[in-house]
Amino acid sequence: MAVKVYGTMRSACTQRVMACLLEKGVDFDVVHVDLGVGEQKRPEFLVRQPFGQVPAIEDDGFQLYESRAIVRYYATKYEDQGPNLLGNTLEERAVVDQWLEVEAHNFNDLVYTLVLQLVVLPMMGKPGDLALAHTCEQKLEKVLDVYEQRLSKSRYLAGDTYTLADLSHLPGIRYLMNEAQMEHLVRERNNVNSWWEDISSRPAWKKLLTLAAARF
Amino acid sequence: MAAIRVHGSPFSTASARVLATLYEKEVEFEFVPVDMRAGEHKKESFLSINPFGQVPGFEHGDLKLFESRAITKYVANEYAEKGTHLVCGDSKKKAIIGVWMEVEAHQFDPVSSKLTWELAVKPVYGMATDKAVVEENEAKLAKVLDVYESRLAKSKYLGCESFTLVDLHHLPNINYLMGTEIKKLFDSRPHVSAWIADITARPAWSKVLAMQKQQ
Repeated sequence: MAVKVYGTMRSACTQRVMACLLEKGVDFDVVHVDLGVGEQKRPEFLVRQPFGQVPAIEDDGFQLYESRAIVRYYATKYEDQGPNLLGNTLEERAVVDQWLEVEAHNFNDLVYTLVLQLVVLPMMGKPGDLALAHTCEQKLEKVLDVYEQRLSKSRYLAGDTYTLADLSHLPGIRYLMNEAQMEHLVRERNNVNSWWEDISSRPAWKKLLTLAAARF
Repeated sequence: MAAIRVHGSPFSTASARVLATLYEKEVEFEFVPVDMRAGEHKKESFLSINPFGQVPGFEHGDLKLFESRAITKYVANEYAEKGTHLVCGDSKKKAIIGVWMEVEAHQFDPVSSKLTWELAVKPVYGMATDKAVVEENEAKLAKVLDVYESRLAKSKYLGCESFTLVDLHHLPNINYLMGTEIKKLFDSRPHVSAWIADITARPAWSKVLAMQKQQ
């Protein structure tokens, strides 16, 4: 039975989950949640995700939400299938965790706020806060300088192999470089650029973009 | 035996998270204070410990880590057989615990951190509290705590039936907020209130508070 992913093809957090499932070769179906009409805030959905957000999954009766908890679960459950996204020793796993935390706490909020102000609010016919977006951009420059340094010492964020730490960045960076028109943040940094080229050309990510395009 | 070193400040919520974990696991460690008022964490000398210029930093032999929630997980796993069990269960139980770890990180922390900053930290530095920020985040926190109230009616602790890292991660911000007007949000929710009374009474947490008093 395929995993049911409740969310949307456009949502960065739903994409995080789909990217992981595609890497691991796990079958899934996306059950579309209509964010435009606020379906995620309705009582029927709140039993699935009490904070009224996507994604949520259901796998043969087992339910989870929070995209980073979901990807950790599947990376562990299917450890021996597809690429190892977690690391082997406890120390390697700790370093993967470290960079997942970096994505969640140093990177994500800045990207989220920037995309909200420059892309989402205007799409809804509301004015975005350009000053706030600019502040986020400046902070992101500093964060990506740290990534640039890190990636001069290792091929991927947590070491020499691709892990959840890299995967977790895919949806946010794609939004930054496309809709938010912040390509320069990546292109101006050699190591970050090479890393982005590498991770965004993985077959699983390309497959996701094809699936998403079909639904847009 | 390689020594553990923690670089940080007992007043920093992220540092406190790591200290609480080390005390729960009854693991020896060396604490290296970082003078945040003097901006020591932003200086060149500290960046090799945490390139983002944040506390805490953590060393265990050759292993260097930053990000408090990665550190607590490492400690909990490395010393699984020692002290309090902070992770538990089969893969599905672990996954549910994983959900609530993310909830703390993404639903509770952003909001409670802003309130801690406005109501507990700024006054200490003689800075003015931004009432609009407080109002906005208080409303958000109330909604999050409604979900917690519901969860804690069904489960003794947030992640499962025993105390785990999930509950521990909340301690530093809860500690600050209980000393502010936000206390009423906790007190008015019986299950949340009981849970807070329970987790804040843990001896390991008292040891972190004792470190704060020593500074």
